[in-house]
This record gives sequence, C-alpha cells and structure tokens, in this order.
Amino acid sequence: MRDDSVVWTALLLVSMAAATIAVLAWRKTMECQRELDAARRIAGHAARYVALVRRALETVLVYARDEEELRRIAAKRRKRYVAFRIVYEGEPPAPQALEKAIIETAKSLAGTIGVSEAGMSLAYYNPERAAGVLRVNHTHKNLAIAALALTRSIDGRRVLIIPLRTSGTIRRAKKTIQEEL
Amino acid sequence: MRAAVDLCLRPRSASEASSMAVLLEKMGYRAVGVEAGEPGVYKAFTEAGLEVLRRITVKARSASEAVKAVRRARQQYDLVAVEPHDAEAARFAARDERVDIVSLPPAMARYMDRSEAYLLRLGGGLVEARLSWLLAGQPRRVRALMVIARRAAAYDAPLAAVSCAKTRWQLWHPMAARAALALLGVPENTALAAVTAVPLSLVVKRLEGR
Repeated sequence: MRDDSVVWTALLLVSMAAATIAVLAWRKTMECQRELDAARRIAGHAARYVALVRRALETVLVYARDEEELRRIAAKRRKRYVAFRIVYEGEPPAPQALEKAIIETAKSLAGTIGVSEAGMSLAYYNPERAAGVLRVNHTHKNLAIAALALTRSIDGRRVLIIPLRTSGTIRRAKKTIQEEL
Repeated sequence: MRAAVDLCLRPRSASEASSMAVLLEKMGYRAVGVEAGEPGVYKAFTEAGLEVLRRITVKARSASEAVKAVRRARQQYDLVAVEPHDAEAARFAARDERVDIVSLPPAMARYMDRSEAYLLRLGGGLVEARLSWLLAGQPRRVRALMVIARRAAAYDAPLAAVSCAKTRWQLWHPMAARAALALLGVPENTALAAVTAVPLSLVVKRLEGR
C-alpha cells in the first residue's frame, strides 16, 4: 500500500510538471505569434509606403522627361549653311529641280518626319556657276551633307554635288563659293 | 580637311580615269588605290598628282583558296584585298599580314565581330565600308554597310571608307563620306579617321615597303 501511494505521488508530480511545461510552452507560442503578427503588420505598412514613394518618383520622372522634351522643342534651332557646287552634264540644273531632288533624297534617308525636323531648304543658288547654299538645322547637318552627296541625278541628267564647307552664317558660306570658284 | 585617301577605284578606261583623277585632286584626295585592267589608268592618276597604289581584290571561298591567291597577288600588287565567302577565309584574311584589306560581302556582314577586329589589329589590315552600296539604294546592302561600319567602330577595328567608283559620277567627297558614315551610326571621330588617318597609314606602310 505504501508502494502504491509513492507510485501515485510520483505519477502526480510528473503529470503536474508536464502540465506546467505544456502551459509555459503554449504561452511562449502565443507570445511568438503576437510578435509575428506585429512584424507582418509593420512589413505591410512599409510595403505600402514604398509603393507610394515609387509612384511619386515615377510621376516626377515623367514630368522631368516632359520638361526636357518641351525645353528641347522650345530651344532655338541654330542653322547651318552648307556650301556646295555641282558637277553636271548638259545644262546646269534649275533651282526648283535641285531643291526637290535633294529633299527627295533626304526623305529616302530619314523619312518625311526626319526631313521636316531638319528644316532643309535651298538658301542660295547661282545657276551660272552651278553652286549654292543649303540651309539646315544644326542637329541635322550630316543628313543634309549625305543628301547632297547621294543626289546623283536631276531631271534625268547625271550630277555630282560636292559639299565645300559648313558654316554658321550664309554670308560665310557664299564667301566660300566665291573663293572656290 | 586633312589628306583623304580612297582605297578602291575601278575606272573603266583611261579617259574615265583622267576625269576621275582631276576631280579627286580637287576634292582633297592625296592617294588612291586603283583596280585597273588598262595600263594607262595608273598613269592618269599619277599625272594628276595623286599617289597611286595598284590594288587587286581576291574572292576566296575557303582559307586554302585565299592562301594561294594571296601569295601570287602579293608579289605583283601594292594592295591586296580579300573578299571572303566563308568564315575561315574571313579569319585568315584578317590575321594574315600579306592581306591589306578585308572586303566583307553583304552576306558576311555579321562576321565583323570582336574576333575579326582583334585579328585585323594583329595582322595590320583594315576592313572597308563600301559607300557604293548606299548609291545602289538596296535596303539589304545599306543594312549590311550599317552593320559592318557600326560593328567595326564598336569593336575598335580599323575601318576605311571606300567609293569603289567606276566613273566620276560615283565619287565621294571626303566630307560627304564622313557624313554618310556618321548618319549610319559611326561616331564622328571614327568616321573622320575612316576617310583620312586609317587608309593613310596603310598607304604609308605600303609605300615604304616598295
């Protein structure tokens, strides 16, 4: 009988200890869960702030790009004047035919919009000397020179247009033609 | 403008050569590479005050074919150009010191790559950009020219602009050649060098070796 009571007492103590451990473990779990939930809430707030900042930055970038674009459009287009002379067969070409041929060549290179942006036109032409000056925006100087070089036929007659010099003023370009000829 | 050089001229006759020579001298060219059948052609350029190098273009379908042809050509001509139609021939042409110019056809434009550029620098040759393809106006050829020129510039390969003109109506003023290359996407300095310094260095090398 005494052995039974010792055994029962031992069993009772072990079960009480186990129950205490279980309760402590459960309490710890609940604390961790609360901390986990708090961490999730903070992460959610942070993600929302980051998204807000990102949207704000994107908007600023779009405005900045638009500003840059508007500034570019509003900026003064400096002109360049390309002096050239023509080697031709037969009669020297007429100014209208010459301008038309050069612009058509430029269109085949850069398209209609490219040519519009270039703002190309024949500023001066002397049919007797077969020399002239082409006006173009400074950003499209290479297009103008290439168009001059690639124009090899006007009204069915062969020509070779030789660019002489690029200048910022028409006066200097005309002077180049005088000196050359 | 600095002294310009055109390494590829193919005049049809001596009279055509005379008219080309006069125009080239006025445009500021100092040296030319001429492929000619008639003997009087070279003289026409010399009389106009231009330095003349006799050029030949070898079409090679394989490296072994290129080796034989180049060996023969080197003895008779100042400038040897190889037009490879095969990857091996392209690599051989780039690294061989006897080959001066690699003339890639449109189908081989994409072989102008990093390796080809490296071999060209080793072999002392250059790759040519044929402006006659722009005159032809065929989109495929213009695209090939763009690819060759841009890649040569990007991979730092020696690039030279050539006209391959047969008549005076196909000649290019140095300023126009430079503008055309710049329009194709080549940086301005590289375009300028392609018309002046790069071909001039080859001319100097070959004239010293005469």
